[in-house]
Order: sequence, then C-alpha cells, then structure tokens
Amino acid sequence: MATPIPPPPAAAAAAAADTKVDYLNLPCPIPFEELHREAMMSLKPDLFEGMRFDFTKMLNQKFSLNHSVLMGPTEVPSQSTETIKIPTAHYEFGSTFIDHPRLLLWGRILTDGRLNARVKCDLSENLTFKANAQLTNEPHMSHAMINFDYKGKDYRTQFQLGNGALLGASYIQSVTQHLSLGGEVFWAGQHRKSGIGYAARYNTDKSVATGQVASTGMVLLSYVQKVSEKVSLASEFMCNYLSRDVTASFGYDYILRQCRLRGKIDSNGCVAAFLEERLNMGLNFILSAELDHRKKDYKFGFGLTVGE
Amino acid sequence: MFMRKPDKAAAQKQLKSHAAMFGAWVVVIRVTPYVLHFLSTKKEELKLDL
Repeated sequence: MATPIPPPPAAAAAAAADTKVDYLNLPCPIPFEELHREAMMSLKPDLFEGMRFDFTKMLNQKFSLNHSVLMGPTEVPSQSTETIKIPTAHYEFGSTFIDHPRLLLWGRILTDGRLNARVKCDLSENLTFKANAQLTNEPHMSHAMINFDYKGKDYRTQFQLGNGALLGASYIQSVTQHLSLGGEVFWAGQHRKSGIGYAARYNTDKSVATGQVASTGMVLLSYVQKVSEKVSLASEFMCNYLSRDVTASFGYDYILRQCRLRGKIDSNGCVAAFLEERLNMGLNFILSAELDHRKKDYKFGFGLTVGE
Repeated sequence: MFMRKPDKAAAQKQLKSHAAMFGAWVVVIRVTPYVLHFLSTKKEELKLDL
C-alpha cells in the first residue's frame, strides 16, 4: 500500500520568510532612557562602602515594607585633591505598593529627613504616567520630575517636566527588526540652556550596540556581547568633546546558579567587582569592592539582604 | 563665580533651532520604514519580471 509523500518541512519556508523584513510590522523598541540598559547592568552595579543590611517584609500580595541600614564612611567634598571621609550611619524606611501592572507606589525616607518617592501609573493601555521626587529639609534642594510615556506600534515617545522650568521630549522608533533610532530635546529654563541629542541601538540575540551623542558634548558608545548562556562581556566608551574627558570601561557579567559576579576596569585606573550570592531562599549575601588607584580611594563593602 | 546666563532672546532662538532639528529628525525616522518598504517591494517586483 503506497503512502503519500510527507509534505516538505516548513523550516526552509520559515527561514526564507525570516530573511524578508516586514517594514510595516516592526517591533516596539525599549524606552529611550533605557537605551544602554545592558551595558549599565554590567558596568554600573550598585557599589557601596561599609556594612549594608536590607530587610523586606511582604505584608500582602501588593504591599511591602523595607528597612535598610548602611554604616560606613561617606566622602565629603573638599578643596584638596585628597579624599576626606567621615564615618556615618543611615537608617532608611521604605514602603512599596504594587498593583501589577497598572500602579506602582514607592517611598523611602532617611533619618536625616530626605524623602524619595516614585509613582508609576498606566493611564490607558498605551499611556503611562511616571513621577519621582526627592524632598529634603535644606532650602532649594528638593527636586521633582514627571513623565508621560506613550507607546505606539513601533515607536515610543516621552515628555518630561521638572522643577526649575525643566522640559524634555524624546522619541525612539524601530527602523528595521534590529535597529532603532531616537532623539531627544531638552530645555533648562533656570539656566536658559537647551540641547538636542541623537541615539541609535542595534540589538540581536547575542549582542547589543548603542551610540548616543548630545549637544552638551556627551558621546556614549557601548557594546555588550553574550559569550555564553552565563557570561556577558560589556564595553563602554564615554567622552565629552567640550571638556575633553575620556573614559573607556570594560566589564563582565557572570551569572551562575547561586550567584552573580560583575566586574569592570576602566581607563581611569578604577577596578570594581560586585558579588551577589544566594545563601538561602530569601537570604542574599553581597560583596562590593572598588579600587580607584589614581585617587588612592579604596572601598570595600559587605551586606545582607533578607526577604525577596 | 557664577556662570552668566545667556541672553533670553539668544537662548530662545537656540531652543527653537534645537526643537526644529528634533522635529526634522523625528520625521526622518518616521519615513524611513516606509521608504525601505517601498524599496523592498520594488525589488520584489523586479524579481517577478525575471
């Protein structure tokens, strides 16, 4: 009994279809402010000096409280080139309310009276409202900023308003499956300064390359390559062509089953490493080290995080 | 010493220039996918002629 010939595999057709780009159905890019997200994750971990203890308690599905203690030296500004530090201790109380995915309320207050607050609210399916504020007892030192983010089919646009007559707008859009182009414009009314910036981002499954330039003189290039499932290598080039400051950084991000190790070295003679290890469910151990050989400033920190 | 504030008229002129450049750049980005789509479609048509 003759059987019919099985149909040809669809993989070839799918592969052929993949090569043709549908320019009218492009993906939505990531937000403009997160353009260098992968590089920031590897090259700018949350380094600290001294002892840090974080305790998070979930009261229910949406509401949680946070207690943080940080004890260690704090750098004070000085006229000389030498680094001057004084021992300090901070206690920070925080609360977080997350009504996923529409509403996020986040607040932190320190013992010296400084308050940080953040709000994120989805006004509609495509429009998001964000606000953040830093309030302090010192006069004229408080700041606030509000954002309106609009997400289109293949673009994102954002408007910003801040105190001090600060205005900003940004736009980013996909032009191919892997390439996004963006721009921003800003106005600081208090200083009567305006600026414009351009950005580009090219990302594949294994690598991300980004570039950004602004009329303030800032040039920022970054490249992140995923070497394997566990290892990512990152590099960044930052310069200001008005003040002639140049910095090149190289870093790695090593993710293992129980821990994550990140490190970097840059052209200013600064070497840093950051280790997060999960000792148990809800218990994390943190080691932080930063050696600035040029300034002779060496920082070492350790911490514990309790609760997820 | 404090930095002198730029003249108000000059600052506003610069702001308008930056806003115009930003708007032009947004228009260019917006048009690019349609141009690429047109070019790819045209190329396909040429293939059909073969």
